[in-house]
Amino acid sequence: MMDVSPGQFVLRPSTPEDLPAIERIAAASTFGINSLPPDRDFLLARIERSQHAFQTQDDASGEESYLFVLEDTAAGRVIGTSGIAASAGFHDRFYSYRNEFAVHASEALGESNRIHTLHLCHDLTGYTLLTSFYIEPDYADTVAPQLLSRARLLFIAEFGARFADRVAAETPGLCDANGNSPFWDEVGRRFFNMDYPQAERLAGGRSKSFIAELMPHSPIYVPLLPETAQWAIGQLHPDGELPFSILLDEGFEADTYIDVFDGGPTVEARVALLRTIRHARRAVVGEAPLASGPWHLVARTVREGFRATLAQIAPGGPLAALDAAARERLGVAVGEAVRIAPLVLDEVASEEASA
Amino acid sequence: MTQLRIRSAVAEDLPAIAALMADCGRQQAGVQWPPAAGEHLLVADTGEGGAVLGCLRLSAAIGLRQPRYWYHVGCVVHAARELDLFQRQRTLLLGNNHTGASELADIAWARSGVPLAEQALVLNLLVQTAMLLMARRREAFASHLVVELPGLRDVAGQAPFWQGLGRQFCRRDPLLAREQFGDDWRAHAAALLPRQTVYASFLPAAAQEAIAQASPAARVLQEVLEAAGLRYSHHISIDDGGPVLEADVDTLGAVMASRVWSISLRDAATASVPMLVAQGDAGNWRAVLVQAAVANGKLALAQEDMARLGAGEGAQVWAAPLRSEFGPLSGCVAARA
Repeated sequence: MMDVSPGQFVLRPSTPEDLPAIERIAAASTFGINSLPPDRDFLLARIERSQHAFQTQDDASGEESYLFVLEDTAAGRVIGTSGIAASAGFHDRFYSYRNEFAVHASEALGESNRIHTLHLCHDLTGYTLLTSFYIEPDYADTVAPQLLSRARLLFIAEFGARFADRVAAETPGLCDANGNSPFWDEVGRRFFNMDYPQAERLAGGRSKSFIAELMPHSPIYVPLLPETAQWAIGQLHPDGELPFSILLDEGFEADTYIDVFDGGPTVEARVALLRTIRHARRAVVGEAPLASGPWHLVARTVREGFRATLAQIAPGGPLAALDAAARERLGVAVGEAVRIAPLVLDEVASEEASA
Repeated sequence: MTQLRIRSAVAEDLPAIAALMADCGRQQAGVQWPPAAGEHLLVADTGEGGAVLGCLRLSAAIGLRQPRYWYHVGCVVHAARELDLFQRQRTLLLGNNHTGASELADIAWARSGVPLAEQALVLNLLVQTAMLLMARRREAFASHLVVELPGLRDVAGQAPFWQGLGRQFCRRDPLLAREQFGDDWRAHAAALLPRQTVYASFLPAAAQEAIAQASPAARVLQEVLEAAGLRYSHHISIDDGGPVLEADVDTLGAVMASRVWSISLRDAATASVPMLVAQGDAGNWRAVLVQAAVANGKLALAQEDMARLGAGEGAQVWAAPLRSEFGPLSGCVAARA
């Protein structure tokens, strides 16, 4: 495990200067799931779209796509990305398979079976989507991923009018190094007769829903799928375990939806019920001579110039007393507003239990 | 050579019918006796006391008490010009579409050592005689006629279609279930089967290949039925995937061409045509293939044919000319020990 202090990480909106770092991240990301393809022009456009989203005064047109980067201030470089799409499938529909179960019973034969089916659906269209999560593997065991993933929720809480009241996140399903997935091979391939990377290439930059529209619209009976594909349903790619576990701890549900291409779980939740959101509060920045108290996620309440970091805040009181270093990381002065949430939710859980 | 005749079955025929069913791989089935209302059991034999060579059950309307299920075989196209993609997919949808139709069922015939042409003749006469009965009592039958053909099975009697689809949803062994419940087992099994469209491409290759394929032994029956005017109905059996053939009764050749005649004695010198001539009514139906001529508005038959039919001069008969694609229509089969 790296020797790091929670206080050395800062999350901020991406800028064109981050392009080399984001290119490096795109090249390292798991194939197929990342919304960051290793394509310089695409990435630059994505950063510019994000800048526009942070800047625009129009509330919630729904097409905004925000891209954050996480900096290790000690190392002086970008070590991760995360993003938010204001409205899933904004230009189009957002496709998922919904898991359903029906009990088929025959009294005469004395037999009843629980039958699992997958239904192509647009249920998650219009949900706010958490995207583009990537953290350098060296930092996987630090608190950095917590800040990288959960600071997005503070942003959503602060600018609620720009987002849906439900939020979802795709996590990568099983696939091999070439991007072939056992789920696609047994489901999508029957309708496309090509592997998924090939289908994506041929779709030529169109939205994934273009491909999804060609998928079967009748339910897929899971018992008819070969075991490899059955097993892949709702299974995570190992690269997805970390972001997935953070979202599950938040209270995301993983049982209902899967990705139409690789069968990976698509988690979803009501924003208001997420633990970071429930335990977040606005506070006025106070002055602490020395950092003390439990670690918190602390985020600015401005859109342009949004920042989030981890800082120690003594419990109680309306003020969030921050030491000078933390104030500097955030770029806030005493008296300004911040939104804070406890870093460790286990403590919150025990507080809840005793309350 | 022995002359064939078709007649309503009697109780004494049951052992012979059971033997025929066994010869056709349906030893478990057995036929209901006496036939229920609206059911007519016909047999082909070689005359009084002669061997029973085939049987057939004509039902007036099916699926009205115990539901009957089939898969409808449909088609969906997935096309995207941009992806150079154009894929046709077969789909299967469980349903009761043929409910209320009339049906020819329990068709069994002597196969072992019998030339195909003779099998075809027996089957053709059975089928046409059933159609004459439908014409005779048109109001008692439906507008629609269906026939389920047996599908592909291995030597143990297991169907690759069931292995690929049904077995994933119903664990009961189909052969044992059939033994216990008869053909009704399929209605029980249907409760466990997928209710929504199934893409055939999700099935194993052997199951896909079995869709709408009649067993090799039933090909002769399929040819007879298709020559008689039935066609594949895009439905298949839920157990072995065998094709269901169908026809509009009123467009069947035997029904359209049949009419009622008075019979008279034929002058042996008159030119004659092969006709299937039937006499009696449901429950006592009998038909023979004869050379007949029309004389003075009557149907003229030879004396011995009238005797085989059990009808005398002036009697009313139902008759239809028979065209045949199955060789000379002698109505004769080689006598066998």
